[in-house]
Amino acid sequence: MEAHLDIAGVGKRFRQTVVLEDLSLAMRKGEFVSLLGPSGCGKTTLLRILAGLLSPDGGRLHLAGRDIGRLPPHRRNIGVVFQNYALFPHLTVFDNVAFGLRARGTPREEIAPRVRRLLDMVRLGPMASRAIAQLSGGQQQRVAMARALAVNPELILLDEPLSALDRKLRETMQVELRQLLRELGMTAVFVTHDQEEALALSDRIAVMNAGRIEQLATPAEIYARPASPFVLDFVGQSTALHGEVVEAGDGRLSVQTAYGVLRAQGHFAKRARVLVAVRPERIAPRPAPDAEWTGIDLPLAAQTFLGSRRLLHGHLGGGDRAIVELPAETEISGDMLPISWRITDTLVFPAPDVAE
Amino acid sequence: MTRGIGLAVAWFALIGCIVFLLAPLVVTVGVSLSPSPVFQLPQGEISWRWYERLGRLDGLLDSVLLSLQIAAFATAVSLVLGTMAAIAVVRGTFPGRETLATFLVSPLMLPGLVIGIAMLQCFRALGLRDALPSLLIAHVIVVLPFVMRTLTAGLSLFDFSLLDAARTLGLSYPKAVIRVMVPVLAPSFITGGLFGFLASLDNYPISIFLTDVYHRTLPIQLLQYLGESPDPTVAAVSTLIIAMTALLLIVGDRLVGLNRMAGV
Amino acid sequence: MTRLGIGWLAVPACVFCLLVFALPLALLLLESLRDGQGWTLDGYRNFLGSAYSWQVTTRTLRLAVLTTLICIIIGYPAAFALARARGVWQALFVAALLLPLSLSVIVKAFGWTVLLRSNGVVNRLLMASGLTDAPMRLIFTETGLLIGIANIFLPFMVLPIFSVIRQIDPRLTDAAATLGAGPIHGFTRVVVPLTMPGVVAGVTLVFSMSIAAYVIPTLLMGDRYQTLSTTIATSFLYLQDPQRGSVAGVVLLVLSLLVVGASVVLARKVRATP
Repeated sequence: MEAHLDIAGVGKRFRQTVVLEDLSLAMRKGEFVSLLGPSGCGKTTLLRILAGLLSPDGGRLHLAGRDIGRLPPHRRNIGVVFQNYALFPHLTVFDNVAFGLRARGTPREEIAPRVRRLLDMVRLGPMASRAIAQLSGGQQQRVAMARALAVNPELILLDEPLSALDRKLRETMQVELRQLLRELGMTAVFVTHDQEEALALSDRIAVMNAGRIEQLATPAEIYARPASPFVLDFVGQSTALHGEVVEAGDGRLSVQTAYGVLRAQGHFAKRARVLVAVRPERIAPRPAPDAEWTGIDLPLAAQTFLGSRRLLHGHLGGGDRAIVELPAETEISGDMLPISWRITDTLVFPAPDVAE
Repeated sequence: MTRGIGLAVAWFALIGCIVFLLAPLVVTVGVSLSPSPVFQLPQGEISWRWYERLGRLDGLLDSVLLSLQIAAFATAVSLVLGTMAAIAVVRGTFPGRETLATFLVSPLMLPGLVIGIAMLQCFRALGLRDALPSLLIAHVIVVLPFVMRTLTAGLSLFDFSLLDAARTLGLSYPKAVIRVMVPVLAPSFITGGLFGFLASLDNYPISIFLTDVYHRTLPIQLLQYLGESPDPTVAAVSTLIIAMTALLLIVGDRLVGLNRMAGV
Repeated sequence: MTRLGIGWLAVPACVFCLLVFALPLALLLLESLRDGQGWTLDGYRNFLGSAYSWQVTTRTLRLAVLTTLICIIIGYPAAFALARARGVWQALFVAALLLPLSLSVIVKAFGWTVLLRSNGVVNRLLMASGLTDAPMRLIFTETGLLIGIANIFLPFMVLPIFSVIRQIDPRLTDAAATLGAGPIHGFTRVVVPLTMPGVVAGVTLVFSMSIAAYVIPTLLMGDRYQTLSTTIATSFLYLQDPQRGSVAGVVLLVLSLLVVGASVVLARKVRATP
């Protein structure tokens, strides 16, 4: 099947700095993909290249079977929701939404009903004649959505569109946004540095770091099977211990860590430096009951109570970290807690060159 | 207590200020409406006789038209040059941007008479002896600083992602500039253009060196009337200038708001 | 070249200003160093050696200093009152400042020649109030000139200070008060430093414009009262002595540049110490 959006070998450097490195990504029609990464990872650069606001040094871009790589932004038929919304302050809500239609020379009698329908869709029908400055942050965000969608684009790009909103509103807007895009069958690229947002919204997530995609997969897979220590660290929380492989064979490993020998699965050579990790909710507060489990005695540092759950933080040194998630009612006493998890839940990575 | 005294002083100063500032204007209007041929405020009756004599002033209309023409030309050129330079200063990354901005605003801070005489000598040396082109060129230097100042201020607050937004919505770059940047920055254009226009209309120190008998700008003509015919006809001319200035400010207020203009 | 990027947009204005503004000023400097035969410092030697030139220069400076002082003494408190005014009143006050500011200098100067006459409005008021018995001589005196110049440049002092005060959070003085600062202390320690950027801007404008004023001294004092500006004009227009005019021009230019330079330094200092 041919991809709706096909990014092939796109690269970009500013002076000596490589911002994007030979990046490829293909998306189905109607798919929602998040570009997730820390600031400076190249996600916004990629978004601007897609929009045509920045030209890449090399590579090809295809959208709906068209080569758009050399088209200026106004010929690409791509809608963009900007981080600060970039609403036109001198125009009303209605005129903002109608802007793209007028720019394309859409007949007058088609514009009004289309704008009204979009404004109703984002529940701003009664606000049509308001000035932008009179709207709240959430309302402005919805105008920006309606404006980008009004021209019926082949693709919509969202640049951290919810980051300016407070937490509560952001969560409501997430649901609304996802519903709206799904109803329209819109293909969307969503840039964010907020991993929770990416996990909640996306069909697939591209975790980006230093101009490359570290992993492209569904949210569940990214969380359960992170492809690198970076992804492990950036998405979700984890216990991670550095160690050295002391026994290896048959896809089974024994790793010597500062807190004892852990057993895990994987193919590493003996004496290899590795990072052994496990997600917090996979951990049970007891010693390993049988050979399918492995664990350590964890010195406790602090607890955080989160309503339904409780997080225990380990007191570890040397770049190791430990975090355990338990039901809130679990009683914990003492400074030491024996913890264990299934060997099949263990994640093993080659140790990163530089411990951060 | 001290606060009260301080406030009283402040209000007194403000009221005094305004009476002081408006006094010459009020007197000028008053004298123009007085029937007396010596400069006096009208005592009871009002007369339009000095306005009827306006037509008899030699060269008044010509000088008004010339000044308007020069000011319009200089403002138009300055708006184009100034906008481009302001964008370069605000958006550019080249070294010396601040110095460049100061340079382009500096004619406002330097003595007009010195600039005028320097231009005269330079234009002569370059073989430019005609009054009209000299005046047109020179007045761009008068207006440009006003435009630069308001536009750099306006542009530093302008959100350039608006242009990106307009482009993704289907406008080419030049069209995006015209449809989005120009209207959003309209207050800066209007304020800078208006004050620059008025400065050009009123310029004496530069113009005096560049005029000839056939090209006398309004301020030069006015100063000549003051020298040779001390009767209230000059007050009538001045009153018309006051009225026109007030009218321009009212238009500016409708378009931009006085407070915004005062901020410049 | 590509590094200049969007900087190319500044090229037309730059070239224009270099040709029409900077080049003439440079030529003026050269002219001041020449006489009929060749290069010479005679112009400067004559100027600096003449007691009259010194008198003219100090007079010009004194006029500018006094004008600036008058403007700041009236303008500073007035700017505070203006910032406290509300709604329509503030709009009216601002309009009352903007109209004279925008108005032709010649028209205002004409108004003052009428006001300051011995049978003019000011003298009538003075006599009616019993302050003087005989009409005071005001026109063609330095007092009258100072009144006129201050009048013309006052708005340029009030408006910059006003726009700075407008941005000061009134809670700052309250905060100072809760920290135990009395009203005077709070004012001098908190408010005055915050208004300094406006004061620097206003002082620079008023000083640099009054040092170069030409129309008002000519109208209110006549030709015999010489400032640097009138010296330039008479040297070129009547005496045909371009060297003397050029030297006076360079002196005035240097003084103005010093003012602008000082203001840039001061403005930076004021911004650096919040």
